[in-house]
Amino acid sequence: MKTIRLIAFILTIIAGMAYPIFKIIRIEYPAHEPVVYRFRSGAVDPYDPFRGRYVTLRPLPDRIPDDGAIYPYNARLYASIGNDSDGLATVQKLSTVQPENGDFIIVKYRNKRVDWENRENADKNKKYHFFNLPFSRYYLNEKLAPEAEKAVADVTRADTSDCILKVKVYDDGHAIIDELEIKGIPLLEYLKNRRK
Amino acid sequence: MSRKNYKFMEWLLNELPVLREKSVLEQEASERLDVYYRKQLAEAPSPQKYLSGVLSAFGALLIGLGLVLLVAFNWDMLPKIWRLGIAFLPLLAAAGFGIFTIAKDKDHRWREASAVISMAGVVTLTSLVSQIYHLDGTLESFMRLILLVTLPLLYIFRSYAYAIMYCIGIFFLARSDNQWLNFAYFMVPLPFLIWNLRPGTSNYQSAFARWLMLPLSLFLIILMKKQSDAIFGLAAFSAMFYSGGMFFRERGVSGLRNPWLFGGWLGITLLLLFGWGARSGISDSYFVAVAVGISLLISIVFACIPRNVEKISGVIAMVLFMVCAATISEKQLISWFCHGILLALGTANIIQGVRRRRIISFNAGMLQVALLAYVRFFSDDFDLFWRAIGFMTIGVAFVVANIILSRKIRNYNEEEVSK
Repeated sequence: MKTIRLIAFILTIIAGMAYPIFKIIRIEYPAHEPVVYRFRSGAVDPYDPFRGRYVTLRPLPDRIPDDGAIYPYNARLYASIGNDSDGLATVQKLSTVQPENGDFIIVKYRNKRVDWENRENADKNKKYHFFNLPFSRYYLNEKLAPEAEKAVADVTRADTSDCILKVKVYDDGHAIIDELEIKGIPLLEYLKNRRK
Repeated sequence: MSRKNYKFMEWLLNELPVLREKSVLEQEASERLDVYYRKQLAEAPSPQKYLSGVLSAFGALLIGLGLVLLVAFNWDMLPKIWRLGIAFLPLLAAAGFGIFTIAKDKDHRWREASAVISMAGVVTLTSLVSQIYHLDGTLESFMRLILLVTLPLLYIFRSYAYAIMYCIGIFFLARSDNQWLNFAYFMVPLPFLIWNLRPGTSNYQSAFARWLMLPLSLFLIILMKKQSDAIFGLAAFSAMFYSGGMFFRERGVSGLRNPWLFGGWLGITLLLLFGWGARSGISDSYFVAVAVGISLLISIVFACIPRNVEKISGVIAMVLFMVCAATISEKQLISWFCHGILLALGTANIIQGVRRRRIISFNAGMLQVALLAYVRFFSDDFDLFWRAIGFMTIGVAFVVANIILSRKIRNYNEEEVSK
């Protein structure tokens, strides 16, 4: 009985390590080198009880014009991505099947609606597909997070292209944040400079 | 095998000299009883044993929470490879601690601590890796992973502290739409809790299992999503806890060790008073049908072993409530039906209380009838004066009825003694 419990416990510990190890291997040793894209972004600063303080990012673009397709809420879709003339990431197309060519990211579909954010100039006849890109958290030291939030808010109020998320996009559609840059400088460095 | 009542044994040991003195017991029999029960008491699990178990689990929990907070601080001044290395340390240390506990067959304090620290180790590792790589993901998916991979700790260490954490953590999954997956999470700790309810386990273990069944059942009710479905779930679980509470009361389990009885009674009373307001026909959910069906089946089993009018009346009341909620759409009619059932149940409890000279049953019935009278007749239509008179009348009725019943019980006991 003792041996069975011992084996079961060791298997449990291995199971506990399996997911983090799998993640580390997938990120650090991918079959193909990931491609780095630069996404415009805004931010707010919340707290996760287990993982600490982070800056919630709102990577853009989070919509494409309505192409007549119908997707259910929360559907897992493939977003084909590319770069615009400024070298910033764009989403070109949503699809329920994995694209055969080009880079793509797996996103969660939200809804189709009018873009009410621009209230005064909202075109009621033009609808968009809204979706969530799978990278919205940038973890930070507890003391730095409020400062970072303020810095990001100050910068993005004027122009969202001043706050750039460098994202590694892997060939299986997964993506992780590589760096958060403000005015072309990595966030931590930017905050250090700001203090001086 | 009946549950051992250690308090009764202590009382009996104190009584033995008196019984001997009054020649109720012979010297030899008294000595044999004395030896037998002292041995039983010596082997009894002491409250200190459980207290020290609770304290060691609490200590381990604090260590675990400290680890999580250290992680949450975010040590971004260290290089990534260092942080990844550090992330594994708590779980590796917990693994060593756990292996030592199992290999040396350590007692329950070590087992509790091992389970809690191992869980904290998994939480720390997963959190740190998510933090280092800025991984997305909701608290729900995080808890789902943690509960899934650490669940074996419950059975490996038979840990009550882990069971408590699991029953809290499971509520993070409630927002998910995947009812059957959540149902599986609900089912997995059940064998452990049911095992602790079997005859022969200590009072502390079985009381613990009874308490933990309450939040687990609440989780299942929350999973039903629609208010009208949840009302059916609440009715079925109230019936189950009421008959189960009665079942354990017949075996000498009362007070705080038997929360099912009060929980079930409260559920039945509130549903019959107000629950009819959420009526909306028969549920079309297969999940609700399975959950309600199983809990009703368990209620019937509890009510029939051994058969008892009080237990059966609680189950019948809830079945009738469900029938009313499923078939009657007219508001006035369903309220009269439900209140009629409550009146019948309250009256039955009063009668049972008087017949069996059980003051708690009597007062439970009185309270049900009084609440019904208040809800039915003391609404805003009555002015303050009449409401005051009504309150006082009910209060006086309570006091007088209790005095009369207490006297009856005392007289009966005196008659029994004089016989």
